[in-house]
Amino acid sequence: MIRYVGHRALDAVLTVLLVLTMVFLAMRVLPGDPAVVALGETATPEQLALFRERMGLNDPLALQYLEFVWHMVRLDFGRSFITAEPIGAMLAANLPYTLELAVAAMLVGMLLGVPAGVISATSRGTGVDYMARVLALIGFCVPEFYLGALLLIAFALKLDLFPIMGGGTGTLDRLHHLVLPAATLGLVMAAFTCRLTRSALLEVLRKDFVRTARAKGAPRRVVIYKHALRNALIPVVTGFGLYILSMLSGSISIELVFSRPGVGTVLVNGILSRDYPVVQAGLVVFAFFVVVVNMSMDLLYGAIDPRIRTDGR
Amino acid sequence: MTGSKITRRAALTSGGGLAAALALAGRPAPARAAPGNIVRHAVAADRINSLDPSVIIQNADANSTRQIFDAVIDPPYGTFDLDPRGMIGEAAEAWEISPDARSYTVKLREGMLFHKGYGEVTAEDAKFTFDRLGDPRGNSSYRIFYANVEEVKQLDRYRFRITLKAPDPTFYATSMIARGAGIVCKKAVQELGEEFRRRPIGSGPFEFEAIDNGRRVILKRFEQYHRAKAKLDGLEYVYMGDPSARTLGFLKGDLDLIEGVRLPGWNNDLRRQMPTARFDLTRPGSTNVIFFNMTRRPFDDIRVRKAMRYAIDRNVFRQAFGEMYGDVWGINPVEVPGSLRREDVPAELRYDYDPNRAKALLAEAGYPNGFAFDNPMSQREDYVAIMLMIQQMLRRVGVNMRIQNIDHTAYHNNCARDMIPFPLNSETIAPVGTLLLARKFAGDQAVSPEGIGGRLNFSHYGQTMPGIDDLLARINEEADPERRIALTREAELRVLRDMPAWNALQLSFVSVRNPRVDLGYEIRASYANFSMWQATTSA
Repeated sequence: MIRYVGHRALDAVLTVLLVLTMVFLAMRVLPGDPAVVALGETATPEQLALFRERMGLNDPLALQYLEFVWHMVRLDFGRSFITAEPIGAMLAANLPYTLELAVAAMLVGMLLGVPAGVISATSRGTGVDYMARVLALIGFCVPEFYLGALLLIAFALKLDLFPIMGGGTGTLDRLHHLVLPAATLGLVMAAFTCRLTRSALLEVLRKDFVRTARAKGAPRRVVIYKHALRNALIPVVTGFGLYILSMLSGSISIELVFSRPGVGTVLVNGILSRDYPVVQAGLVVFAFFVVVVNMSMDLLYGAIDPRIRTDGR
Repeated sequence: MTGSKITRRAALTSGGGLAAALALAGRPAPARAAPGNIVRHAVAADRINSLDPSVIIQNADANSTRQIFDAVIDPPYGTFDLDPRGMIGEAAEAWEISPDARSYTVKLREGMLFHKGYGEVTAEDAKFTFDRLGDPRGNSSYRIFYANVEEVKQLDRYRFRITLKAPDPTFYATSMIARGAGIVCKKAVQELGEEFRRRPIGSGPFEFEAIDNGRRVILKRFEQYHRAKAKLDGLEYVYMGDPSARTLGFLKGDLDLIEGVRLPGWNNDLRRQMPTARFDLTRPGSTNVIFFNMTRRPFDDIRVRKAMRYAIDRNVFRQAFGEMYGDVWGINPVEVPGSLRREDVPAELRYDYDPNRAKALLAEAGYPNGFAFDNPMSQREDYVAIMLMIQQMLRRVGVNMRIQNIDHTAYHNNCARDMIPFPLNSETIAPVGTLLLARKFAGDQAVSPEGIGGRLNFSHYGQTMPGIDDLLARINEEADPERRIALTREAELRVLRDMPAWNALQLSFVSVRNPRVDLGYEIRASYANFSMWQATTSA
């Protein structure tokens, strides 16, 4: 197990380093001069030259890269080119909002999606199954920003049950602000999870060991939840992991629609204003989470299926 | 570059969320006040950039700085009336222009205080402010407007004088009014350094209290304001880049004021949802100048340029944008003093819509079947809306403009590097006739592939062909305002004749206000940042 975790950790470090390099290069390839964005269209050539000099943009690319990696390794994110704000503080203020949204949406997605998938699979061909599939299809097709706007109109504007904007302050207020954004992301995720669970479970229910369990007279509940569902979980967990990653990017549109603070908005603004340090730091944080999620998934596979763990793969 | 074809469908899709918000919202919940006697204003940006008035590159930030800082002078609130006799002295008790229009002497009000105990406002602070605005080594966003300043001199504790290198009877209108020229506290700037951008100290009617996570500026009334105290307890500027979110927040009553969306039909849709909403439109709003890059074929041919101009029907813009639309007959919007009116322009230079003439000119130029070209364009909403209309109109005469959608920063970068054949440039400037001409039509302002900053002549007028540089030089020597106006009009007519570019329309900035908020004056013209000094709220 230790070897297994060690391999995964090494993979993670290499992945983060690769991401750092790609992020650095990508920002330099994008058209758009951060000096012009920071100083505006009316900036004189002299002002622009001074700005570039001050920000180290005239240094050789290799030197800029080494400095960037060195700062990242020390978790020194520096200051924004555009606002001169310390980036560490900016991310620290926004990251909790992104994380609480991701966790809450995941819970909604899992608690609705898995049971719905099980019910749909075990009621195959019935009205319940059709209804679950249709709902899942709708949930899967509706863009998150659109669903968010609809929920806002219904529950915040019309029924006045939830706030329309912001992230809230204090635990209860933050939870209150979290309900609609988490429901938006979570409902789409539930649709995805439902479809995934259904198809994986149907596949497993056809397997010989399930038939054997039934032949042995095991109760239906035991057959489904102990034997079949556990074996169906590997593809569900894989899909779940992939979805969490896409949810991190999906949270950007949710932050915009609900005017929520979050790393996504910080990142988008950074990209639009060519604020290299902000984008680099934001993407490194995202990359870190991608790596953590991937590692967690790998470890979860091991927990679900001991054969993976003992193989040391 | 994030290149993608932009189609009507794509534009409609991108506006889907907003359309859904407006279409489905129905009657809003009853309007309710923000807590206390506070006005909450949502601006169209996602994060605060800078609250230092000399470093404003995002219009949204200027809403806060307008309240925190006093300008030396300002036009009567809600107007762009630049008559020197009618100007309001915010920090100035008196001011005068020398007869040769080369020096401006200002006497500050005595006893004005900076916020947070930073002491009295003096001429030393004013000198520091103007020196900083014109510092070629600093970050001033307004450096270009102070390039003509020779010296700023403190005369005594309350008096200072700005001396210009060349006469300019309109200097006060570009460089002493509220926008960049809010008087900053020298001591605070020196003490706080970069932090001044996030902890501004001014002497205006509202003082800075806090920034909430980069997305909300909180201001409170300055109790020792030198004029009558503001009536509001405070102001909140909420940064909400998403127009649907702003619209819904406004309809719910959580927001008292929102920055509107400059898209066709938006005003009317919102009005249907909330008939009591007050719409404040600025005039002139932004100018929208469309350039022919004359270094590229076929735009080097005046017949092609004129043909494309004749293909454009002003009424399409007028009908689409409704009350946001404003006419332009010359280069300057009609609200600019001395600008050309319809009757001032000879019939052949009015370019009234005439598709047959457009086709004939194209045929004469060797394009009887029209032509096609690629044109990268910003994805900002107003750019997209205008260019889609132009694309449609050009198609009628056989010109196929294939628009590629790129982000706004990349677009500006490509414009500065002379990479766009048919660029649109939207800009808000003070209504001073020479500004637009000097910035967009002077030969030495032509862009180049090296992307030298600060240049906005995308047509290469005055470089690939004689332009108006001779007239601009004469304007710069002229101290008499009337003669300057006459020369400006002559320059405008010459631009119309040569057609290197045209100002397609002026587009108002829109603010929508809950009826419970009274600004204390009517908005007839202005930058899109209003003084809230006299504002009041009702239950």
